Amino acid sequence: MKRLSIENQRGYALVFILVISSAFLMIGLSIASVVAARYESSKRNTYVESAILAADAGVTDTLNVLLTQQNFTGYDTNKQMYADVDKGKAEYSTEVTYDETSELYTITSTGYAYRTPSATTPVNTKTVEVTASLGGQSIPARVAAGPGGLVVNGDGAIGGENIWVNGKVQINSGMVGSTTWTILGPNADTTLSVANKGCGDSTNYPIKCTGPRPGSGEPIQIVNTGNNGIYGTVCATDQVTNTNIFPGLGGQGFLYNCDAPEVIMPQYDRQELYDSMTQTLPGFACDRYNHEGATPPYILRANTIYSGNVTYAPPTFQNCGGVIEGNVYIRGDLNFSGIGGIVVADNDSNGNPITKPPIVAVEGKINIANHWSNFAPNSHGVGAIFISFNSTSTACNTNPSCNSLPSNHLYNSVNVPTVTFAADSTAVSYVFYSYFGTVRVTNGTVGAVSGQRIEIASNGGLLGGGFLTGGINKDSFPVGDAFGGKVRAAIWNIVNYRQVFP
Amino acid sequence: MTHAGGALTGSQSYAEGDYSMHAHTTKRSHEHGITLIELVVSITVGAIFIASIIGLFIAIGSSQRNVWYLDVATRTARSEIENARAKGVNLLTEGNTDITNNLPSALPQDATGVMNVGSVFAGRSRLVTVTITWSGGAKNVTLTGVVGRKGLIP
Repeated sequence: MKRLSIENQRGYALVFILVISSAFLMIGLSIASVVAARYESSKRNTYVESAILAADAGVTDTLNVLLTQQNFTGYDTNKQMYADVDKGKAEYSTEVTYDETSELYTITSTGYAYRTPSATTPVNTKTVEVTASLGGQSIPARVAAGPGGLVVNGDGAIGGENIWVNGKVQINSGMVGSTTWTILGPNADTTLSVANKGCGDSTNYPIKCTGPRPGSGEPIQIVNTGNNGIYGTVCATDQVTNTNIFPGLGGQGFLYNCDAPEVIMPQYDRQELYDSMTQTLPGFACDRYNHEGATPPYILRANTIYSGNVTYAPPTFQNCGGVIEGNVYIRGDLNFSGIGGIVVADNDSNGNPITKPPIVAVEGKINIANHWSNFAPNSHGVGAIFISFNSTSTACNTNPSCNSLPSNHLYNSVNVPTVTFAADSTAVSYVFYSYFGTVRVTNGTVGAVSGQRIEIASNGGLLGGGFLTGGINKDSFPVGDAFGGKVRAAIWNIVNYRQVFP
Repeated sequence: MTHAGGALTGSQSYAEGDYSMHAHTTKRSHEHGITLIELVVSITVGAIFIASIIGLFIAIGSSQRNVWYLDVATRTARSEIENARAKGVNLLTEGNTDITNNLPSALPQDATGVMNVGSVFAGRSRLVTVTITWSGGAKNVTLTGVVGRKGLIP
């Protein structure tokens, strides 16, 4: 029995050890597999976060584009956020819808996270939906300058009201012994807002400037400070030097660490204006051969397309006054020189009083030179709004549906004067707007100006009573809407944010 | 010790007992040798198994800690981006900022954090990258988001 018993125990210890070890091994492997799964899950969470952040980036990008292109519908194809060996790759696509009733934009943005820069299949995809409105109060503006900024030379001056500049402000005194002059009058209780977003190249223009400060990177540069100054309340992003910036009588002077909002340039639906025209007439020239007489071509008729240049250029001592009867679309240049006042008609063709400024849209350039007669308001105090849509893009110039330019054309167009006011006259009830280029006022006085770049020089001044019309989308149109006299700061309010699950 | 036969008496019994004892001793010596080999083999195999299992459990423990660190680091990186969004891009400093002091104690002692405020992305917004590294740089989490003037607002 004993031998048998001992013989029967042969290998039992080994078997026992093997069984126990196998059991532990299985338990260990099970735990290991759970841990591995958890690790994979945690790693996946990192890609989930990356996908959400990419979707967020799509929202930010789209909101930024919508500031200048209100008809932007989003990025149909994926746009890359980053691609890096260490971080992998992230992309996003977006879709924009606009509800006219609530004036709300809904941006649906999908973010894609990839394991490697060369991967084509995302590890994770996430979608967010953001509802936003353009906030901020509409604000009066005497000047709205785009990324090209505001340049004041010589005895140029701007008085009163608000000045909004998306780019920089440069003040140069070219006059020797000039008397003191200012951007804002010493009595002004007003605001100069400088957003410092006028940098970049033809691929990304305009972007925020990031130059060193203080120094050339500051958005306000005042040369020859002995004669120059700014009076009022000044808010300029990245500005640290307050030399020759004064509060005036009612202002706060220079505001330190102030973040100036970008302004939305007044938007006009050129196509809608074009479609509202009811007749087409050839362009004309009121010059030495046909300037006399009481009948057209002196009159810019309401709701009329002029298919060529329109020129008021009478010879010396001849009068070539013009009358603006309503909205006009000119498929050429608009030129004024010589003698002859311009006035808005008191009544329209139905005998109703014209109380809203007519819009004179021009595909070419607007040149007002050597003109010695005033641009007068009608008996209701109403002037007109002259807009040049001219740019370096010939395709855009002749296409009424073109309301925005890609970066390269905007970059090339911004310094091109497309509206020039060099007349020894006043146009204080009139507004001049270079949609894609520069407004240059070198003489006389105008009411208000808007342009990608504004240059005030010599004896040019903005001292009148006109204000910019503006707003976004439908604010400034349909045709005949009230003369808003305001622009809007580019401030988004995010109304709602949610993640969308499939 | 028990005997295989019945009860023994006298010298025969003793002689038998001697024989039996001798035989039994020889047998038992043989049996003990086998058991020792068994034990040695078993102990060896068992030791190998136990060493493997201990190694496995150590690896599991290490992996669990890394999973935990990965979770904490991801949450921390996301939190840093959200904090940056709450501040707004204008209050951020361009370039690298050491955020090691902001890291939670749940991360290992050698963990380090860096926030990079990079290039302009859209409008005034910028790309912000948070990298958290531990285990002597062998492990890390990197998240990149966009920080606008205020939250997502460019």
